[in-house]
Amino acid sequence: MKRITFIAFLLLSVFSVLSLKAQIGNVLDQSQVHGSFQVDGQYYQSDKALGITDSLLNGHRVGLNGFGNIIYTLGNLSAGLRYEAYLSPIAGFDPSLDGDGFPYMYVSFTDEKFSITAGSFYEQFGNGLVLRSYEEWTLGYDNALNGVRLIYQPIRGLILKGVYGSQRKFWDKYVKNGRGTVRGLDGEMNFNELFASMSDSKLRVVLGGSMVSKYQIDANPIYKLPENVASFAGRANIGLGKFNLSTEYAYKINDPSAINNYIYKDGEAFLASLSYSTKGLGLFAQVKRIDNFSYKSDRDVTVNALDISYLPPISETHAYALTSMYPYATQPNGEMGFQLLVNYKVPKKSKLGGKYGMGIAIEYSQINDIVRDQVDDTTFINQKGTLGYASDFFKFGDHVFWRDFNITIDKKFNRKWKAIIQYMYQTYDIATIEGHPGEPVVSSRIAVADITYKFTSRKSLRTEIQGLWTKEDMGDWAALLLEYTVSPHWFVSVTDQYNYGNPVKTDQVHYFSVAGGYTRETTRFQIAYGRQREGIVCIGGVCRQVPAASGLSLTVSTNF
Amino acid sequence: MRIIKVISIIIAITFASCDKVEPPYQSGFDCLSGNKKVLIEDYTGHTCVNCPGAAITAHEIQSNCEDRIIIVSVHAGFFAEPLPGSDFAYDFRTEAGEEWNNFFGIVSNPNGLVNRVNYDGNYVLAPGQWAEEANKVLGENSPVNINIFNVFNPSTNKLTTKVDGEFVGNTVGDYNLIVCLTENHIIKPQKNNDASIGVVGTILDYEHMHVLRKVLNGNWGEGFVTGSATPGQTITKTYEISFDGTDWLPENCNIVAFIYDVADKSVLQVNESPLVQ
Repeated sequence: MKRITFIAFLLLSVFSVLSLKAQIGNVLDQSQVHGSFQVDGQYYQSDKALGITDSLLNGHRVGLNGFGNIIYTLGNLSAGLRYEAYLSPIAGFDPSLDGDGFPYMYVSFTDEKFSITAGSFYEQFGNGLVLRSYEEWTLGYDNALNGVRLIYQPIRGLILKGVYGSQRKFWDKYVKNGRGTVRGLDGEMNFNELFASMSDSKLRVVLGGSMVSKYQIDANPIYKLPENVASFAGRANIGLGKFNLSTEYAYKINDPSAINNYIYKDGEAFLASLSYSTKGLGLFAQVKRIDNFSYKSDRDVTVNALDISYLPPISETHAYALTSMYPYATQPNGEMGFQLLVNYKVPKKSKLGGKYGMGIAIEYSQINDIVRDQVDDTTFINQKGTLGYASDFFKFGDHVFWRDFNITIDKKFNRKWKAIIQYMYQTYDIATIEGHPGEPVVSSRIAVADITYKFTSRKSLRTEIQGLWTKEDMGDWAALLLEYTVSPHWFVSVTDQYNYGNPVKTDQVHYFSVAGGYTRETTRFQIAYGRQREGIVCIGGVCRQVPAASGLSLTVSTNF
Repeated sequence: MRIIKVISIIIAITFASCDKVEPPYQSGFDCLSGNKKVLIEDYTGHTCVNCPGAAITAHEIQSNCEDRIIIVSVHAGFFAEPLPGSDFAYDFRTEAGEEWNNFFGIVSNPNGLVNRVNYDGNYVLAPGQWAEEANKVLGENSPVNINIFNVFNPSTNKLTTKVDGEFVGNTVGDYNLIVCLTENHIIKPQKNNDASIGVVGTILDYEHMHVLRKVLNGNWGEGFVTGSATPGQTITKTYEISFDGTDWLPENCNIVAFIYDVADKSVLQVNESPLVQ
């Protein structure tokens, strides 16, 4: 009997092991692993012309920012984590990033109708006016939510989302009554999917609505602060033929904070865009109004962290060194603006278009302050601990923050030559945007010629010639870039930005730099040596300051 | 139908998560509990545009509990650097201020410390956090009270200050005493971006208050308690400082003395006394 039991046990064990092995085999066959890695390193050297001395560097010779991102999926299940290291952060990144660890970890289950995520996640409701958690490596910005997210699609055309969590703040662990928590709901209806009668309609309608609330304890002995601050948003996206209208309005109840000087006024945000697109022609117009709409999960934070809302920019993001010298940063306390954009493609074989046609883009954007009036005779505008001010929704303030007129012509002449020519006129209120009160508004004219000559199908030389002329700030600049590419693997470049018009003679400095790069499939190496000018980098209206630096930089990135 | 019910409940909960505050918006400090006084160190600089706003915040906190909140404005770091040939040529910096600025990890202004309390590895608090932390300290009891006796002799231009620590409770550990000279009503330029405070740009006749001028007994003070102190015990230290060669005005100056825990730097007690009554 014992022998039979033993043999039965043995057979069972063997079958179990074989079954487990088969299961592991199946699991491994169905599994997928994706990931990405990047390391940005910088070696700093002293540079007398830039005022960088050994004592200023104070031993801080190396900065390193890096991350590794791994995502594992198995059927409906997915899990991921990200390791980050800032040892120490590259100059210009928030010093609070100093450190390393795993700030992002999640596990998620998704089927046809339902998805649940526990851990860290990124989410956006509509345009992000009341909720957007995202990560932007170039800015060192990450406001990931840590908590739970549910997404439910009960029927085709209707999506419901719910989120609950706290936001990432550098390496600070969430502690009770530390920073606040965020909870939100979003619903979106696609009428063309929801109603069979509209499935083939030329009219496309998507409507959505969001509600978000943050909770933060009030322990402030000076003011009675709201512990629960809610915001609401409604949006519509309507398309008819070649036209498309997209709009969103958001409202936030009293949210006194360090950003708005602890005023109790409700906040508003409005975005609307209208576009028309046909072959060879695109027209785009948008308007935006922001009134007291900074929305953070810690009311005392003023740095780039813990934003719940995202206020999209309506100014064009420029790519060239000198056209991006004065980028616009969104003003969450109040701004009102519009953008007009025309894209026209001159047809091929026309007199102006030639053999390949010609692209013309004209853009104009302007952003002003909002109008602020006293709420009563005894209260100053924006006085702490009051309603702050009253503002007419439809009135532009006189104070111009930003104005940008630019025209871009893109022309291919023949198989060897092509060029992009750009001219722009910018007005930039440096006092408001960069926080330099008293400094005059910068009015600049900028011209760029970007010319590419192809030696062969793989080898080309690209030349950028740029000029910026202004009487304000640092005066006139000239820039030159020569970039030789052997596609798809190699490039080398030399650049110089010369601040020849700086009113201070000793600051008329050349910012030389040489760079080289190698790309193999999804892996890229890039090395550069030279000077980096002081300035600000903005992505999506969110900016960080970059100090002047001199030295060697290295970037290695890959994904799989 | 069930979905609509669920959505309705969720909407109701979200609307409930909404606190509309009605005026008056002001609350109040608890100045009566505890006996510990509060030291707010405002790390500032004359080219820091947001610093006048922080100074107002500190003053606003102080005005709620006048006798129990003491401010020291420490001009240190990048925004405190003098700019020769400009409106900002004056050097407000002190050796102690610079050392504290580096030690406590202040990388931007305005920022500050409240009783040098370490919050999860971080001493530095944004101005918006000072009131909350000050209120916490006000509710605490300190085992020691500080008395300051100043005698300024105009003929010798010297100040003699005597600091007594009167222990009213048991104290275990090592504690140092720091004695600072501060000055009010210094009229010098300051950058500003708050129109409700003054001209946006440079306020040429800005009134600098509570400015740290000198630490009388070394950047980290000197030993005051070693091991323990008991109720009834009084420890006295006396210091002398000359005003020769300085632009300090005795009638605008104060002595700020504080006792702190050597291990974690937290302030056990602080007091302030003017040079000229």
